[in-house]
Amino acid sequence: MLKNNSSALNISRSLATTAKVLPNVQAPPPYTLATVRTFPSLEPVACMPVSTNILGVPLRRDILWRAVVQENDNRRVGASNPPGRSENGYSRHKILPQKGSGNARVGDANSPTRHKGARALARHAPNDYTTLLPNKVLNLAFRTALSHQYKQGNLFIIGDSNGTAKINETDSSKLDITLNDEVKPNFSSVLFNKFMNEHGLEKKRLLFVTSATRPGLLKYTDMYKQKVDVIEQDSVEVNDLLKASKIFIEEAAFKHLAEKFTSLTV
Amino acid sequence: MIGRHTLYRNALRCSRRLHTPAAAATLFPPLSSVSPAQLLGNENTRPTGTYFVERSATGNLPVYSDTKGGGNKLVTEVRRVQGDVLALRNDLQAALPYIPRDNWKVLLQSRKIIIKGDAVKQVKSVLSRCF
Repeated sequence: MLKNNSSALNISRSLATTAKVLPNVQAPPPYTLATVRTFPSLEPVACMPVSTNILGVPLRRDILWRAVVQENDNRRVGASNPPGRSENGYSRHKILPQKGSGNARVGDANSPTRHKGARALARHAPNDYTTLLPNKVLNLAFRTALSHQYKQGNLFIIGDSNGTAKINETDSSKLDITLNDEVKPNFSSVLFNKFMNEHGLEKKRLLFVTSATRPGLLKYTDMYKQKVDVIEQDSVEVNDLLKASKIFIEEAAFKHLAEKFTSLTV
Repeated sequence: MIGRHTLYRNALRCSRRLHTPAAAATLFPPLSSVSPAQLLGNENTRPTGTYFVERSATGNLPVYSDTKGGGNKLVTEVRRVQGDVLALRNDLQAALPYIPRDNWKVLLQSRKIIIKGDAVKQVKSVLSRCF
């Protein structure tokens, strides 16, 4: 009994000293509040607490760099196809006799040391330039990119908070525009242009992340495809997140990606 | 009969669980279950000059030794620092005054504290009192 008491005392004493050793310890806040909006008015309809593991990650440029390099490596086609000695086209005939010419020894004209000779260590397309990155690093890069864009105010989550929020008739909780080919006048075709004008998004690089194929959005953004990317949730890359001036992401896609990118963090 | 040491360690582990951000129950909790004090951006929750060190998945402190310069230079690395890295360095310097000031370095981009020489045990003993 006595022993137990003394150990309890010990604990409290050791905890009491913690304040003196490192006085500024503070656990980081676990959540941040994100706004859920509707499309295309971008009217806020709900608040959503999101773990700071997703939207509150500090900026790590080194991690982003590694992820971007890996993605760009994996994107390379590797079409280079230089000729090797056997493919270079010259004869296998020895250019000079081995002895007596007074010059250096030579073999055939395909030798890589000669002008117009073959390529030493030739390779054949498709060449594989893919590199690997630990999934933990890749996931952290995704979360870092999302957090950075969120901090800059460039991340717009589109949804209705599982149907709890009230939405205007003209708005949608999905990133979609109704396909409208027969009815005239056709408002759908001007809707996206109006969306860009209203929010001052012309000439900006936009990224739309959807949870499923959105044929309407794809069709009516086709005119602006130099500047507007429409990507389904599982095809998003760190490059896309970083290059976009504004990101519009569906709530379902956001939740899906958040779970995907935290799957390996413990 | 539980030994004193295990009791102490258990108590520490419990307090650790409460603190680690990984223990945040879910990624998207219902709005009603979150208090304002838990939110980022709340002025009171995270004034500048505060920091936190997260433990690794296996429960160890992220303090490592490394060899540089062909293996004849030992350095100590403190990783996984959240918040103000410089403030943690200053407090660690105050707690470990016998390590010369010139031996300390902070890598701001990767949020690491680098100490020349092997100071793993000393740094861990300081950090283990809080984290």
